[in-house]
Amino acid sequence: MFALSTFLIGLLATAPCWQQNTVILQPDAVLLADGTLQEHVGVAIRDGRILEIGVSVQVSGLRVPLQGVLAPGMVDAFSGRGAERLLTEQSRQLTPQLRAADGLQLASPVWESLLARGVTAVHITPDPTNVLAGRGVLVSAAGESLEQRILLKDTALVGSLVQSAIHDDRVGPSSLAGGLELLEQAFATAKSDDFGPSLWMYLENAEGTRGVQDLAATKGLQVVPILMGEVGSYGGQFPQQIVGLPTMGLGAFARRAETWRRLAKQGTQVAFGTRAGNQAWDSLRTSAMAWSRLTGDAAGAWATVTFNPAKLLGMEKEIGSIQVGARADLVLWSAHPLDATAQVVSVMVGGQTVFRAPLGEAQP
Amino acid sequence: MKLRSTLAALGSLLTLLLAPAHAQETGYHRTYVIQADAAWIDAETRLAPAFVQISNGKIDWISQQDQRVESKNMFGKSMGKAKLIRVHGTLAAGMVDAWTKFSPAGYGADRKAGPTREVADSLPVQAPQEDVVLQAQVLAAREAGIAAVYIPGGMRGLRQGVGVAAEFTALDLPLDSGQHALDFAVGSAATPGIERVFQAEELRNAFVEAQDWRDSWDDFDEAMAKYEKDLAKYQEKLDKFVQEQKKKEQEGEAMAEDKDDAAKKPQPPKRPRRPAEPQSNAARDLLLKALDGAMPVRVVANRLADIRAMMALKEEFQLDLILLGAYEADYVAKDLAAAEIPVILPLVPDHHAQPEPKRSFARRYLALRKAKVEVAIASGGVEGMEFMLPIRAGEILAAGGEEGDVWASLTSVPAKLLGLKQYGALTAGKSATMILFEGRSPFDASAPFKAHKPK
Repeated sequence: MFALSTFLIGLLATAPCWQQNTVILQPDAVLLADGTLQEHVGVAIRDGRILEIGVSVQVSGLRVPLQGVLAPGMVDAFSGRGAERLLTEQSRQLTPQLRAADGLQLASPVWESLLARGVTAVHITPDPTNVLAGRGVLVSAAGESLEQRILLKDTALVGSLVQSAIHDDRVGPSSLAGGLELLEQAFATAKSDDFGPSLWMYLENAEGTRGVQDLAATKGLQVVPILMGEVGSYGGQFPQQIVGLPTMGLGAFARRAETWRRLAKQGTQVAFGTRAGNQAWDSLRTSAMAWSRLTGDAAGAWATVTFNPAKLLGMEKEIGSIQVGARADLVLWSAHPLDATAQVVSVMVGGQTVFRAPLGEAQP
Repeated sequence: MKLRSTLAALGSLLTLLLAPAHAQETGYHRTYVIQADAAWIDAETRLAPAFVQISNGKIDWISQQDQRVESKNMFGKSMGKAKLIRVHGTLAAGMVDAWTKFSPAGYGADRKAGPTREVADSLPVQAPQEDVVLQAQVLAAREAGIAAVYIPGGMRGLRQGVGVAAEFTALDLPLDSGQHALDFAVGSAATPGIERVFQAEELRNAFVEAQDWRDSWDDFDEAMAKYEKDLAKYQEKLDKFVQEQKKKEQEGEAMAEDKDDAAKKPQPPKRPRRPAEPQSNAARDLLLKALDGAMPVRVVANRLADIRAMMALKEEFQLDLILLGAYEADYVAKDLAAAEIPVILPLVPDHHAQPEPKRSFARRYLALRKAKVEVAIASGGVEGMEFMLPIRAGEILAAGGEEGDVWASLTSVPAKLLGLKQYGALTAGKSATMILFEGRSPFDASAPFKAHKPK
């Protein structure tokens, strides 16, 4: 059965005439947008998008039975993967014009390994080493042309108030106050459309967070905080909001787990990114599994690596969930993706199968 | 009626007071039955449905049928059947974390005492609020499904002290209940950031010195035997001398003219000297215990050279050796298996090891198991890491591992390595500190997972 389904997916990829037509995937179960697992649901795909989802799909097309759980591809909320090692300009502290898209490395082998782990889109941000670092880019992990690869050319403006990252003896700033002053200057001289709808800030403490929120309020900007710091710093600051969190690292592990619990308790939702301040240890999925165990909320945990990052990027109708109209960026898992024993069976990006696990050989 | 119920209450109070020593120590004293959808008895055996009777924190019986019988108190009054608690999910044994970073309050304050420091001596007494930091550590571990732990010596450098295997009590405090072991670290594991390649040699020298010291007792015994002979001879000579002197005194006056000639006066025989006993010291005494096989030796070693040196150490001194860290152990997996050296693999590799995809945790584990090395999976002395144990272990299954094998590495293997006979499986007589999971396995983070603390 496993071999048959892999074969059929393979067939889809190698038969271009079918890509124009409708394909109805019939996996054992589908992980829907609300985080529930539905059995006996078909997912119809046409032109690289999801056409219909239902127990009895109305449209006609090639029906492909699949063994496993069909889930949306994961989205990395903020990352340096797939780009040049340094995405920064060190001669000054305000570089709002720097674009992560200019440092992309689309041929990097990293993309292949991301697909093998079920990641289909990555938000690459400039290095958070400048107070205003530049603009990010949202990249699809697979695609035949540049147009297909770049899902959002310029995402939000990204900045940082993480002292250890932005401190510079030559161009400053040397303190949090200095960082905020630089940011204020940038705000004062900026034209209204320079910033875009939101500002993603790497933050490490409550003071910096408050400062940025106050500044942004004067410009009517929404701040997306990426929390690089430790427990207690954020008490009560982000109820019912989505914040960025680095994937689990090694530093101060016990306190990090406690940070997660407290955020979950406040109703804060999280989008995981792999650009971690400390030694990034593992994948998005591991962090999602850890979030599930720490909070007991499996649906919320799966959203941390799918729907929430998409929502932060304003792309929730396109990626990060299985819903009608969204891109067919789908991953077939051997079990629920939050089950640590699950393996990636195959990956589809934009309706095309781009990865298949080698038969009989498990992924590390 | 009132009298009878008072008597019954007194009866149950007496029953409590007469509870086995274990119940008094741990503070668990209730009797009840849990009915679950299923149970994992051990790494291989499954049961569905499952009834478990628990009393005094231990499993009385576990069965597919409800085996409750009416109990009577000491006055013959029927107490009815034990209370039945129905739960949804699968029961399994609590995990055993063979390498934690727990630290009792005050332990380690005196750094000079490092090599001989015993964690067991610093464990708090069983009283509420006795050590709140330690309690928080135990609670975090409990929540993660851990039932028992090893608290390492935790000192810095080569000799890290004497750790202790412990279970948890009703007050969420550790209780010394397994073996004590000698903790060492060699190479970068001993001094992070610095590669001290001679530490393995230093450790060997310490054992050689201990061995030599013990051998010096043989020399002492020989010297003592000679001393005793010499002493007897001396006694003989002395007696003879005394008699001669008496004889001369009786002849008295005849000798008077020689009175001034002191030089010619006969001297008493010289008393032989008692040989000095070899001096003992506490650090060496610990090594001697290890040499006698009375105390296991746990060594954190990550580099191949260090691991090889430890294998040689075990062979030379016939030590009961457990290898920890063991980042490069998979290169010598077959030799480790042949030498019967078990490995405690931490979730997080050595801080200075470069994580390469081909040397992922799962791959290193599988390579060791393929060669039949006994492997326990532990949080590796990273605080708060316990809850990642089943997740990391599940990734081994995704990479091709066997479920029973991996589960054993989290339960029965570490229990055995720590000498915690009452842990690692759900059978009669074992601890009732269990986990309850609702997914396909404890490795499934998409479903609820709870820890059961006995009442």
